[in-house]
Amino acid sequence: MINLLKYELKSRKIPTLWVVAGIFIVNLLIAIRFMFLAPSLERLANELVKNPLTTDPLNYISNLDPFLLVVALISSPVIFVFPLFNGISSFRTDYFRNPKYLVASIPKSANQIIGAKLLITLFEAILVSVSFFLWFTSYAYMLMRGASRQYLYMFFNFLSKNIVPSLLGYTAFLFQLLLLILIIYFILVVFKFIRIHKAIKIVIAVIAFNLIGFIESFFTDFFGQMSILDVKVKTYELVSFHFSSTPDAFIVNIGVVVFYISFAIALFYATTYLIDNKMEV
Amino acid sequence: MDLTNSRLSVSNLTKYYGGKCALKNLSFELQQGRVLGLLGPNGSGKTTLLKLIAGLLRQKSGEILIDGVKPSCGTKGCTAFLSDSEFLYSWMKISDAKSYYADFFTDFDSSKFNELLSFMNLDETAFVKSLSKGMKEKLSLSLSLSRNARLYLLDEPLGGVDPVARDKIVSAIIKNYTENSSVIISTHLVDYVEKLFDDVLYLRNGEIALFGNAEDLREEKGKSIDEIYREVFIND
Repeated sequence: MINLLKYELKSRKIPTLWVVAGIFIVNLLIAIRFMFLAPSLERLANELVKNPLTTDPLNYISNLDPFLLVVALISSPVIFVFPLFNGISSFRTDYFRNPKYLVASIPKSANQIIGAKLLITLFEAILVSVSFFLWFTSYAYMLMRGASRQYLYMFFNFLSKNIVPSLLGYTAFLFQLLLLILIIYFILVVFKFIRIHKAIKIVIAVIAFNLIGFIESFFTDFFGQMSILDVKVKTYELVSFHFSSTPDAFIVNIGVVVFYISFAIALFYATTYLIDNKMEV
Repeated sequence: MDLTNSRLSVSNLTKYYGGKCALKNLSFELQQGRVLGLLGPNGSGKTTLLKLIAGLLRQKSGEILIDGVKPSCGTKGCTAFLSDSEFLYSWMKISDAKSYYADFFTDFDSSKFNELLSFMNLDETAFVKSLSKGMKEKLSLSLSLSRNARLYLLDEPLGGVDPVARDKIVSAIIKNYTENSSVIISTHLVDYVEKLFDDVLYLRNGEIALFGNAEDLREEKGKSIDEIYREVFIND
């Protein structure tokens, strides 16, 4: 498995490095631009200290530098699109282009090969997310340079209150990415067996993709309506530098979670079974 | 033939591509330590047969056994398949291809590969995509022959290379072949490799046209394997 991960990473490293480098270069350019906005930033920091509850930092930033917001909006889908595109491209290279003879000849099961692809996709998504996170953290730092301890405390308090939902949300995001890749792998493998005109194949593939999406949303709604399966998840906040639970809580439907996990496992095994036992190269 | 030493057993093998029959009820055995020449015109089913043995294709019916085991993940570890198509990644250097084989095939012998590289005049630092067709063929063959596999499946190892390179490739096969392994060589260039063959299987439209011991066939017909090839396929 380690070897599969190593070569998966090697074959995907060039586009990954370009994307990460791209994020850092844009980051650097915006940071330089920020330096010229220092007086306005100081004014913002003072305003936030004076009136923390009514001041909207996002509104301030957009007034300060609309360019920053536009760049952030345009580039943030990269977190999802890039690992998705790279994961599909790697699968197509290994099973539909010439290296298929090499990949199909190594003594590794499809479970291991597809597992390695999903793990590297996960790694790429986290790497790109971390690059973005560092970007936004550096802005937050620059925004708060002139702020008082009170504002800093308020900021960390806000973060601590949102950390549990954010982590759960991010996990769900990563899971959705992997699930989408698995659906596409499954459709690509199934359509390799069907010998029809390519244009018709694409149309049917789109219909199949939507059908799987429909089944997915049907069961999500079905389980989502069963309130008996709802679980309350507590949130925490920083009080005198200690975490304590808050009255706020959010609901996670355990039926939906179990359905999604089962659906992903079923897709994974169906795809790898077809590759190992039915697919021809 | 001694069936107790059977390395490869193919029985009643049938393969269809859609409605077209590529192999029809094929049965033969290959013993350990023997070289089988797989001969036939284009479209006779040679590549299909090799791919089925390598586990890259699935048959409609019949059975293939490699040392008593059906083609699977396990048999890939002891079967070296040389495809007639390019199969290495475009990002690879020759050294990467070597590492790849060393990492995935426990029977890969790096020192044997280094010897073959210098024998074939290939530079380890060269990118695979920068190599000519003939050089790529030499590299592919070097990779396959550097494995201490039990069964070698060589699909057109001489295709697309110049006569000097052909001689080198044939010498490399002779040099690296051991009594513990069996080899199947599919080729059109019969005269170049016929000295290697212990057995010969002539395929026509997916069916066996002639199969037997190469020496016996030469004696029986009073002709070389190449001449028998021309005789068998003269009307095709």
